[in-house]
Amino acid sequence: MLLQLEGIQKRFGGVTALRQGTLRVNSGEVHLLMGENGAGKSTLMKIVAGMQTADEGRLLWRGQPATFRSPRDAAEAGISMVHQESLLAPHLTVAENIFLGREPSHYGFVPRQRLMQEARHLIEQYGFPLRADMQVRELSPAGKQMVEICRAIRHGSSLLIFDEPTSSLSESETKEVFRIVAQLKTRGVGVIYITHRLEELRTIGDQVTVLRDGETVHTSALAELSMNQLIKHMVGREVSAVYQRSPIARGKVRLKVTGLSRPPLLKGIGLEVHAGEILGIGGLIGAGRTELCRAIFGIDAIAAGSIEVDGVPKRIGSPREAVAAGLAYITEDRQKTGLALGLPIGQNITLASLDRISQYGLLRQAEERAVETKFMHRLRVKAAGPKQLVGRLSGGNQQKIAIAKWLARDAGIFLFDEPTRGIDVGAKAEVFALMEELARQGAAILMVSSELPELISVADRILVMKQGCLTGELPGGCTQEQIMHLAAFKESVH
Amino acid sequence: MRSSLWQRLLPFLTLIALFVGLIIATPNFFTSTNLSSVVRQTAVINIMALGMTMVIITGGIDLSVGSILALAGCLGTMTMTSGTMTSGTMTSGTMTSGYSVPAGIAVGILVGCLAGLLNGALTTRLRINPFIVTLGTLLIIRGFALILTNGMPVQNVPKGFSFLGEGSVAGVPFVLLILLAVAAVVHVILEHTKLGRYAFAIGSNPDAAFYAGIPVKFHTTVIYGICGMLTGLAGMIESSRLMTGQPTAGQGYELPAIAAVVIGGGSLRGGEGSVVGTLIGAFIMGLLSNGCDLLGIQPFVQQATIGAVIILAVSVDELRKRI
Repeated sequence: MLLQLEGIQKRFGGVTALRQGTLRVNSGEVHLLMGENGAGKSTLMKIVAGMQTADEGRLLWRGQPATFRSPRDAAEAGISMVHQESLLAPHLTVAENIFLGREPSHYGFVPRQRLMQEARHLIEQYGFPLRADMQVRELSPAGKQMVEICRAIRHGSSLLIFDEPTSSLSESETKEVFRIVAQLKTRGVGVIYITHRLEELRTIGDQVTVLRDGETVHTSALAELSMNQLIKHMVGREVSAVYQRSPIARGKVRLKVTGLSRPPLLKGIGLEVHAGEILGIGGLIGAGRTELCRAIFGIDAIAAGSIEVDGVPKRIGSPREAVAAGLAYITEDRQKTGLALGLPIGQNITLASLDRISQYGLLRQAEERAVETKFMHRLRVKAAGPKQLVGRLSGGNQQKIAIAKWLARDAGIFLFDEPTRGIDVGAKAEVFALMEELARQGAAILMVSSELPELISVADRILVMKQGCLTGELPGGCTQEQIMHLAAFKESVH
Repeated sequence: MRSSLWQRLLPFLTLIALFVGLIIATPNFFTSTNLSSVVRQTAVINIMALGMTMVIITGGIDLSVGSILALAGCLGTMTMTSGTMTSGTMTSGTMTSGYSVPAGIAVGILVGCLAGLLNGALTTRLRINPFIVTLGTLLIIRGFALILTNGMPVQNVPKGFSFLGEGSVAGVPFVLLILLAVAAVVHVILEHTKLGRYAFAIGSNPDAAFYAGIPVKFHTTVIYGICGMLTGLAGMIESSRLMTGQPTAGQGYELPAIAAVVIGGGSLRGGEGSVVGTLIGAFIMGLLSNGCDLLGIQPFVQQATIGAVIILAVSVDELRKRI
């Protein structure tokens, strides 16, 4: 037994994050840690990695009671964490980052040559797709993730913790991460792996532990568990893994895009979204899906093409004009571009519609309160009240606020970019139900998603993009293989 | 609530404690002469700090306020004296018409506003960090004030002008009334208008504000303009107290103005700050230096004390946020 956690408790002020955290990890095992957002996974892992200390409970490391008071403590014992957001120094090279804080030194001098050599050796050994002398800021998110993994391995860890490592990676990059996890496993390293992507579990996991409301509710071999059982453990009730859509009658065309180009990222995109329709956009990372949303919403200038809203040609050169035309954009990164995390929930909800609840620049407060309460209630936001800061909410509730902002604005055309990224199963179902409700009320919805099962079950039609071009159209309910074929292999018409 | 009750009260309690402490420590403190002199001395910085609060809430900073104050003071007083300058050696202000004082004050405020708009436009259009932009305009505007006056103070301002900085209404210093009026206006802007809400949103997350369809550049520029306007007003008050237009006035005033905002809970990262907080911050510094004067503490020690208070206030604030 490599790591054993028994009855771990942790409180933050009046909030109990963990009441009964139990976990056992063996060497050479990939242990999945599952649970909804706020279930206590991250807190439990922070305790293991020395970023926080437990209030109660026992931590046994290789059979001995241990307490890690700092990440350095944990690293010295052989525990490293690969973080979701990269904690690297962007201006230093890959090699320098790998050895950061633990440089091989010779009387205080760092021998550059040796550093570079050791980094190259490590990279070759595992076959990382990296170059030791590149600056980290030039790397893709996947590349940064790889550097994080290199760092952890270099520290000679016998337990690696991955916190949602693939949430921002493409299919092929994800495979690369899995390959490295498999290699670590064969070398006898224990791996704890946190993920929200249900479909990727089977490929890598051995054991699974499920946390719910700060308690370990289930532990078993992954093979003994069906997907639906797993979800049931996570949410504590029966939820189908696949969203059940009911059909909506399609209305007239609300958004029409013709010949939209922004070389080299977008080439001659044409599409129509009808009232009551959810149009899915599939494709690999880098296919130009987010760029399409950004171009339609006026964030990036387009080289050619036209946009019609409800049959009227619109010149959209800025988000302001897009909003005025009735468009809404729920971005893929709500923390960076969707929400003002330091402001209260209420102010985030009304942010895009202040001109409607103000007169001569003065805000009509009663009206604002009414809007805030209405949408918090309608979206069932779990919070103390409209004055609570958005930054303190869970991912699912944050996403609801990001959506509420546009509902308050009465938008009619919605661009959803990765609407379920980083939110838990229960919240996903709520987001889909909301999208369906909007469609039923006559909204036109464009939905970009990398989660193929979601795309297939939610969208009425799916357009697939590859390298900035549309490569084909599929009906809702098509197979994942059909989408992948168009996304990866189909030669584009251009 | 944006902040807990405790955090709201802590700076206020500090101010009260300081006030009570000074009453006990020295009999010369709680006298109307001393109190009104504290008000007069701090009014200029206070009014600038209120403008600075708005800028800091948007995530910006204005280092050029000291220079704007000087330029506004010089151009404002020059407007007042333009009638008398030609008549050479006349004793101060006997020849000026009744309108020259308000006209001069208006010019000073306008000059401040234009300078602020320039800062805002440079920051948003050229996408340069406001720290750099206003460091540049700090030098440019100061240079401009010196060139304009040839480095000499503007003399012979009308006598009536002294009322702005030194007058009283029913025993209350006129500057206190101005300060309260400015504070009320800035408070209403920040808490009850679209502009104020946008300022918070821009400071909290400029990208999210832009994506929500807010004209970020326009509103940021307006905020800098308002800050400049208030600085222009402060410049006229300073000139009124000196009864000259000094091209060298206001050097280093940006630091206490920024300090007042920060002590009052404003964050240089943007998205946080309040009128009440800034006023408390400014008065804490004002009382500290007044108290040191009355207690005969060296000015060098005063400076060090105020420096320590700034660091203490911000660290207490940060500590609270981490919990």
